[in-house]
Amino acid sequence: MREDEFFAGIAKRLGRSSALTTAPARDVVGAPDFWQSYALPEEERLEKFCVELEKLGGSAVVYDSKASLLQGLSGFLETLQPRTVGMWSGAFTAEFDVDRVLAGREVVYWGTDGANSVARMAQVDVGITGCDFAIADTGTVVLMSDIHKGRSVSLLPSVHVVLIKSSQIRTRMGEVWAEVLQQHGGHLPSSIHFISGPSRSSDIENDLSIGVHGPATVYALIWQE
Amino acid sequence: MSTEKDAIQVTTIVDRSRLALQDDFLRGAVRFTTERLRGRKAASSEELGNWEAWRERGRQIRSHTIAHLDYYLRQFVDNVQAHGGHVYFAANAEEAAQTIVKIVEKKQAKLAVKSKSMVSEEIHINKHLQERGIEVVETDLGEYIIQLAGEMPSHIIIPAIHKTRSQIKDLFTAAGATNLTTDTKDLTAFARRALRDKFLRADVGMTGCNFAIAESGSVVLFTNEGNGRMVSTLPKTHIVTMGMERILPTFADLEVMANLLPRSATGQKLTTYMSVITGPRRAEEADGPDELHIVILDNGRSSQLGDDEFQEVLHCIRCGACLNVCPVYRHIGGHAYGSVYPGPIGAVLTPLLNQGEAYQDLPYASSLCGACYEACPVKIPLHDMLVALRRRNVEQGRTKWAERMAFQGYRMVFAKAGRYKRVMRLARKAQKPLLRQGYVESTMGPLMGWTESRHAPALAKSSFRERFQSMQQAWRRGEDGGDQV
Ligand code: SF4
Repeated sequence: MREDEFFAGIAKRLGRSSALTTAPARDVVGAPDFWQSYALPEEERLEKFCVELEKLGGSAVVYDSKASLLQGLSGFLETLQPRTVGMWSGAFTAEFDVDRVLAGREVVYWGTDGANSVARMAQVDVGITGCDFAIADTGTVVLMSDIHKGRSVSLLPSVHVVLIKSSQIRTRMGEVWAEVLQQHGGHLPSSIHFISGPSRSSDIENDLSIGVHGPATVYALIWQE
Repeated sequence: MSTEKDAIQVTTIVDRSRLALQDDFLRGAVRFTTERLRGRKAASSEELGNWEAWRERGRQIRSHTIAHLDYYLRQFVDNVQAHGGHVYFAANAEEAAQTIVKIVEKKQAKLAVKSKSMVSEEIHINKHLQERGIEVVETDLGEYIIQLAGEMPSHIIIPAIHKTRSQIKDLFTAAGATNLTTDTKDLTAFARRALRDKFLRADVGMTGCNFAIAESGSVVLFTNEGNGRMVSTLPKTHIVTMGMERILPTFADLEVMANLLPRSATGQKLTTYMSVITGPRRAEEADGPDELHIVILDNGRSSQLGDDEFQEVLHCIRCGACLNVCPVYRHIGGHAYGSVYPGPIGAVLTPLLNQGEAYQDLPYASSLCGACYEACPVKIPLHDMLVALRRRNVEQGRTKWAERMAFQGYRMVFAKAGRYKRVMRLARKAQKPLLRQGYVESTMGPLMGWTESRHAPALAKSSFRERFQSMQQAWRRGEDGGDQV
């Protein structure tokens, strides 16, 4: 069907001679006031994030320095013994110095294999990413894709390790949107993923199963700055 | 409405319910799940607090958006195109299916993977693609099971609600699994392996759209398994099919829906994944689709705009809460509705989207108790709409012949006292062969609809008038009024 006919049809049904072209006035936008003013202090935000993520079957551990976080990560990999580790590339690696604890392991850096990147990431056991924001209310991490921050790293491996700085944690989703729009205007990244715990399904006789398509383990390491 | 959908509708809701009621497992499963979902919804909405304030906000946002759909849809379309996405408009199911077939054929695709989407059921896209030799694989675990079984979903959130684990094991074994047990972990692991291979090989990924954000041209998907992310990340071409009413003006509004939808659907605070997709991948990115195509479907929706009684049906966010609380759905399950959308929302939406005779009996599959309205996160008055649809059926003379005759007879008999008396005397005689211990029992004949599953009380041997007369005579004679039933 032609676009102009489609819109003319809608306008006519709504009792207009042609489609509206100016923004209609709105008296209510977004969440109720009591929710918009809901903001936890930093310490509580951190705690709430951990509690909510654990409820979903994820794990969250808080470290008081970058060095101890790296030690934690190293210990985690030591226990898991993955054959390969996949990781975001670019600024993230430098910021957390992750390379220091990956010596001796086979590491796949996102985007360095060109057209083969996805196929390689599909063979990886553990994917390590950072995040752009985290949300205390729902135990959520927010990942925005770009050339260094591939979607596949948090999706294809069975284990997703996410490194978080406590300053990235917000109380509720609305705060994240306000900041994202401020940073990007209308030009959002090609995808933004809000991830809350491991992949799950109740489709077989209502029995909860974990790790259906996405990662079965979500492990958050938080650096309390 | 397409004729092929007419063909599916060969039985009435009564026939289909009778079938469903015979399936004990189905009834048990439906009750179990719906109760569980309902319980979790109650817990999670209580935890949120101010549920009524949230519902009202949800209603206001949907109401404003639909009342200005021309503006917001335009804004959405412009923004999609600005990000390099392609947009198509389809007046009906057939047009939408043809549009998608054309895109898929142009890509010379052999394999398409899909995440769960009710709209794609509405346009029967799988059938269209398969007819052209294109393999279509449903990747939501429940939908995958249903597809292997060759059935339709029976719940909009939990499509395979009616399948037992041993049935699932058999289906998976037929699909190539070996040494499978009925353990959930085992079954899930097989599906993960089988589908992972499909994701990586697929040429086209197809999704629905929970919300389309006007201010940015983004498509928002709520999923739990991660298949929605796979389908929108791995194949080179991503095709989105959306109803024209899926629009939300801003991300601030999305926060409200993100609080309402998962709680109402599964009792979760938020689904595991909420993915916000804006255009195809950017030039240097190594994953994400090269092309994003968005097909916007009308298929009877625009006819509800400007209709005082039914415009609100477009506010629906497809959460399934009204199914979970509906006493009729809980008894007969989703298949009995014989339509893509079951439950109270299906009983309203289906006859509205499909003008003509088929499905016009669905509005009767309700006890009008109003539980659906109470459960609806955007306060759609479904029970009022059901009554309005029934009224419309009567106005259009669409009631059954026997029902019309019965009501005409009723009017004739009750209009004159003498006529009424004579008819009742006749009826008392006529009921005699059907009487069993003071009740009318009959599994055939004109009274069947009432008496087949329960007994009708018999007409008294004499009427109140006759008894009153004899009581008066007795009083005059100074006797006690006898109880002479
Ligand atoms: S009518 Fe309301 S309760 Fe039913 S599916 Fe739609 S939004 Fe949910």
